[in-house]
Amino acid sequence: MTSPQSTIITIKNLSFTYPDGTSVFDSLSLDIISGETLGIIGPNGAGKSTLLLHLNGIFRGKGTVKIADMDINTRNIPKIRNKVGLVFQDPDTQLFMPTVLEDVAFGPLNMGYSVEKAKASALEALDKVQMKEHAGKCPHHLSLGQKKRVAIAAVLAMSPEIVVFDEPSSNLDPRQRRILINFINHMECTRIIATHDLEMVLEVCSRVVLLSGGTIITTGAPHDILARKTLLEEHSLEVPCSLKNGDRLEY
Amino acid sequence: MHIPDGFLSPAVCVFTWAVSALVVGCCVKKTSAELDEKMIPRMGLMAAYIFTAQLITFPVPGGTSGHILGAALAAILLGPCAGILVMAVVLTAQCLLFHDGGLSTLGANIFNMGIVGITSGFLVFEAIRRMAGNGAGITAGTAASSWISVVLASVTCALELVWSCTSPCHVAVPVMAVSNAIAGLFEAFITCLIVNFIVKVRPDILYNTRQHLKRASLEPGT
Amino acid sequence: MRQLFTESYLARDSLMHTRDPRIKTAGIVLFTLFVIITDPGSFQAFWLYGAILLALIILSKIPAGIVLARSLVIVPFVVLIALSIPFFHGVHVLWKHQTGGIELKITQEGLLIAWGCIIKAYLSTSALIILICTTTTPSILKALESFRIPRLFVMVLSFMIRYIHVLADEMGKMIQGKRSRSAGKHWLIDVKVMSCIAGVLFLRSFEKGEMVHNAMSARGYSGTIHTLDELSMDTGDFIFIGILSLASGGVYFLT
Repeated sequence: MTSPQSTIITIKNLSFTYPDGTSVFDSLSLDIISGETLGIIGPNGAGKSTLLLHLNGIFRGKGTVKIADMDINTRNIPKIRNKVGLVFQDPDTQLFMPTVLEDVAFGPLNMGYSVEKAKASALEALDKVQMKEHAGKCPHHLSLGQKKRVAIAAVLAMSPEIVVFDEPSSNLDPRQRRILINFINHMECTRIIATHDLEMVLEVCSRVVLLSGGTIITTGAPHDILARKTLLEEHSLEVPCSLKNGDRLEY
Repeated sequence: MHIPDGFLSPAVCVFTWAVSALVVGCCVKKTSAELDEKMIPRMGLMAAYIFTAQLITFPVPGGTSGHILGAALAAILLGPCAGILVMAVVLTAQCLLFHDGGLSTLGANIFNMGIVGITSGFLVFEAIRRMAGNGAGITAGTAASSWISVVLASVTCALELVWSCTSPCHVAVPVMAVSNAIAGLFEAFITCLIVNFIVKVRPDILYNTRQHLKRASLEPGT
Repeated sequence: MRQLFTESYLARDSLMHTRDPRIKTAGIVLFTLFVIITDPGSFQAFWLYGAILLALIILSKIPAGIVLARSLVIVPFVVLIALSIPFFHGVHVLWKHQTGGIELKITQEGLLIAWGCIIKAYLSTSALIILICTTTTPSILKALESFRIPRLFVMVLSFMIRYIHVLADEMGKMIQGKRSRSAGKHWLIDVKVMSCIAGVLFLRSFEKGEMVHNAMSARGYSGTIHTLDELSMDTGDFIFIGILSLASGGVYFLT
């Protein structure tokens, strides 16, 4: 277990090219501190989702990616995927079992838990996201917001040290979005969030990384970075409304 | 073409169940060896696609509409083993979820539409494509394989009915063959349109192209 | 995608709904097998099979009308058998007609063959409908696995069933988009567009398969799917299968 304030993820000189020849990163380097909530922002096509898929070894580029001092290689992959939980943007690709309970228990069962222990972990995780009463339902009976919560539970059931979110608030109605923001704020692990929702970044993130064209442009505190109009507009973003007017509502 | 329970004799049911179980079992093994851990998600999605494609209503001149069987489509896109597996899964789901086709006749339905439909579709497509090359070969091959797969599947169905003494040969075979020869023209037309579209957008995705690229070690990833 | 017709009946609470899915599936399969091997001439047997079916319908609290209406899926084959009747050979001729060298006749034997096919198909399809109206899809899949259907096949079936709804929804949206922009187009253009939709759906399905695999890998999947084993039988299940087996077998052997 890494100590607070230590680096939990080290990315050094990461380069990745898709099989069709498209280059995504060239020598990208980034350190992520244990316990922080890091926001990764940037225009479409910047490489945010591709970067996230390097954190649990689904993509493997050139360079080094270390999770809690472990290199990502075939031998370490099972341990790394226990440590890093990835919540995908589309919950339908993440919920593939016939019932909600079986989906959430999928990860614990793969970790080698017994059926009873996996079931207990799954029910506990569903309880955390307030979806326990839907355990026996088929995923296609759930609304988008409910599916997203179950997808988060499916990751939490594996008790990861790091949870990675890819566009978690996309297509959520305001109430569901507020539930999500409150939930993320109450989590105790390291959180990495790739998102276009800059208002959410202001509320939940302790640090922000601006990624554009496969390169890290800058990193810093959300209130600093997201107030820089020219910088943001250069990279197809804009200053969030609450910073434009200078009057942020407190929750 | 989904035969309900009761239309085939017990002997025909047992025979077709045995043959289908054996062939589908081999296809499961082969596909699993080829795709490894990608097998379940990919085959599941492909089966869901063929099932959904069968639901699509295509307009027919005269104001009516029709559906495709999809055997040739599955054969061209997925190859023979994955194609047979996918059709078997689709037919099982249609039986168990939509009571389309009987439980005792599921073996026969898989044999007709899965094994005969896919195998004939694939062989005809391959033969024409090799003779005529890509481009015209794909179009001609798709059309011929779609028509032949529908007709042969229906004739096999008719022969099973004859063998079961459910219908005389001079009724079952002409009725099934003629009605499905007409339906086969529709299937050929629609399947050509679909395959030509796919080839335009992702020429690398047809089964033979993927196999060829894999052999040349240029495969993006199976 | 509109809900499957069964979904409103699956939520009901009846003696059939609470039975173990393995027992129900085995019972329905056994009933179907006895129906199929029964001689078409045993009219009494088919009445009794019908009575068993009616009892199952009552136990399931499903409207009989739904079961009867849904069984009409057998109609195309009924038409085929009806067309075949005048061509069956038989000794007891009820009606005969000669036209242009072809002899058409309706014989008792021919009618019996047709009757046998239709009644067997009707009873078996109705039994299957009762099964799927009282048993959720995940339960049916678990029952299949317990009957030693290869796990890989059952898992592919499971994934297929899960994603039918997703793909049908995507297809529905594309068709809505097409309808919004193509009033009064010639059928040829219409059919081309529908084919493009089918093509796009294939590409999306293929890519979705990759994404699902990524999501599975991210949660530790390495080729084997482990599931929660939650089925258990009680006394009611054994009584049910005992009664259904005795009734179906009794009808077959004693009539």
